[in-house]
Amino acid sequence: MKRINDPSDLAINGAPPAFSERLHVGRPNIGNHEAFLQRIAQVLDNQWLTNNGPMVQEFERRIAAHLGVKHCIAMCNGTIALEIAIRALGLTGEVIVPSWTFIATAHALYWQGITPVFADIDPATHNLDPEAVRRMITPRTTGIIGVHLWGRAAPIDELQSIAHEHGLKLMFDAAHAFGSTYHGQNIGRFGECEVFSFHATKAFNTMEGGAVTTNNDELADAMRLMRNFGFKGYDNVIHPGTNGKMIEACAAMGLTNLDALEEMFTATRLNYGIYREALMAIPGISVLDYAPKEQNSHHYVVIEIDEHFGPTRDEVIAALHAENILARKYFWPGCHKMKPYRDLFPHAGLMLQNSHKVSERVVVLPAGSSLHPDSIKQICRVIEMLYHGNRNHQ
Amino acid sequence: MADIAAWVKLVPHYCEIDAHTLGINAETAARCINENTALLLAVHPIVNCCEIDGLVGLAERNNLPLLVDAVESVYETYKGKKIGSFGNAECFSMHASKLINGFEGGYLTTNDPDLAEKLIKMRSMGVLEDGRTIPHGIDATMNDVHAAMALASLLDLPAQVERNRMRYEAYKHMLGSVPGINLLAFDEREQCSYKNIVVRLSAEWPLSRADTLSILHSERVIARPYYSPALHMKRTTYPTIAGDLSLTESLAEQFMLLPCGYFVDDDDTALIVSLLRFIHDHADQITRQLHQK
Repeated sequence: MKRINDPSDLAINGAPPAFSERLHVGRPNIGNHEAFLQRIAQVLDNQWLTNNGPMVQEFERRIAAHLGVKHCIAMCNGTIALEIAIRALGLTGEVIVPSWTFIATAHALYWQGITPVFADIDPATHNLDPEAVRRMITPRTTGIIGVHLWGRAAPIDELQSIAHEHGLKLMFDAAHAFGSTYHGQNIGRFGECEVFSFHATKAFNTMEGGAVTTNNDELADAMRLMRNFGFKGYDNVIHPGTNGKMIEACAAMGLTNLDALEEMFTATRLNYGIYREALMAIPGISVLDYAPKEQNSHHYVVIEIDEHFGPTRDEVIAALHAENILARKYFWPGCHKMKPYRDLFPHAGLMLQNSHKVSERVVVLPAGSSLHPDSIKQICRVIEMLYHGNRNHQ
Repeated sequence: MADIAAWVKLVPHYCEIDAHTLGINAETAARCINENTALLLAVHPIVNCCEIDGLVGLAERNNLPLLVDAVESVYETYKGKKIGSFGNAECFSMHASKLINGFEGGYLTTNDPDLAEKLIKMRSMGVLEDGRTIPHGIDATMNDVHAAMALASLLDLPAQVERNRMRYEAYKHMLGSVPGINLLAFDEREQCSYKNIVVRLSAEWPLSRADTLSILHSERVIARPYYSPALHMKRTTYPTIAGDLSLTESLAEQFMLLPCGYFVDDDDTALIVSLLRFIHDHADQITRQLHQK
């Protein structure tokens, strides 16, 4: 590892990069390899590869028990899970979502012919601002999708009150929030339903996959039918559906990772702590906090860069990329500025000023249980030197 | 298939089939084209292919895109040309029950570079490398475990087709002596997968198809009615257009898909065929007993 004592040691100034291989955000957390391969052998021996096989059934039972929720319906990915949940809930017209989130939340609505209406966030939490949600309700509004961004719970109680007051359905995009709690209760139990992504980049992964969790029996039945073309029995279709099934190999990865969850989250928590300690003293940088009273996977290391730092956020990203540290802006410039939504709502930005400000400041750093603490320290040294280099230059 | 059209807010307009191929053709599709038509969505039947060149011409004459559901025509050819190269794009499945098995999964093939580029962008949420987006993004990326399984399946493809051919030949040989059951023959002038074993119950067959299936199922021979009920007969929560589909309705009562694939060996085939022969030979007694129940 190169020594970084002076701005001239940075790759943007001609030095070799800090890492010979590229460090990605969202490195996969993988449990015991042998256990996974044993499960794959079991899948092949079972001669049951998909269509609600024994591995998927076990996975659903264990996730439901882990979260303390009645139903877990496993799906092929989080986006399809969102689409199926939206359709099963009967949402129509307009649904309120944050703009400061991954584009899938808006896309899932758009594919269902529903207009996503973007509400602003609280800049302190990065989650929906309940007052902003109230402002966006119209006679066409049928629902709200709260997002637990970075695994930090959305203001669930406040959103539930609004939903109740206006007769709206409330569901959550919990793609980031496996392992998180709200008032000590596991995310996965709130609203009409909650939707998880188990993509390889998530804290808990099934390689690719997702699930909807709910305590509503009727909703669970409808979603189980919809994920398998609406089939009930051999040739009897009783519901409009699609193919949203999780395969046995993905469930095998999920079960393996579930066994290793504590170990993986301990590592991500330690890594987050190392980042936080090294970065919090640098002026102009704030590290996203996780509430000590709540549980969290600590999978996301999110920093905000303001004008006191010197180099702009985009300059920091460019400097990190030169070092093979592939930090990301994530969600920039906000869903409302992406196609097709920017054409639908060309002036949406007027109501989304906090989303805009946050989207200009955020950097997401490489993390995950497999990242070595020495690599984290090296990443922090690069950031520190970017600050000092700018001071010296001034 | 109709659900998928409705899922993206299109109205399925069902089209009659050709009695010979059991698939859509240019003449039956032409009757359904009107000023609202957005797409021709052709499906290859599960034995042999539909008359795809006629449909290509029809699509061109009417300036309509042609998408082909070729899920059951993997590996096959039409007039010597590989399936996968017709229309604007062809769509395949890699479900565990298909010739190329990737657990689940699927793929589109096209010779249109612009369409290919658009599809590649759409499957990753429509988010480009520089952070810009295109409309209609969705998460449809295939993961590596699907690809690994499918690659292993591809290695086995020639051997699998040969096993299918042997099974088909065995069924063909044995069913030849069962009156009232006609095996749908693969067109061996073309490259065939020999995957699906479909039989037609002729007027000589003494039982209804429903009774036949019920007897087979009770013996744990899970034969399936080949596309029954037809899609337009099913109740939907979305609008559809049907019209006169009397040939489809009639044919939908006549076919059965018999067990096939890797786990069906010669002994199984012999047992299934002997069961069918037994049903034929004891039809009167079986019918009486069934209806007494």
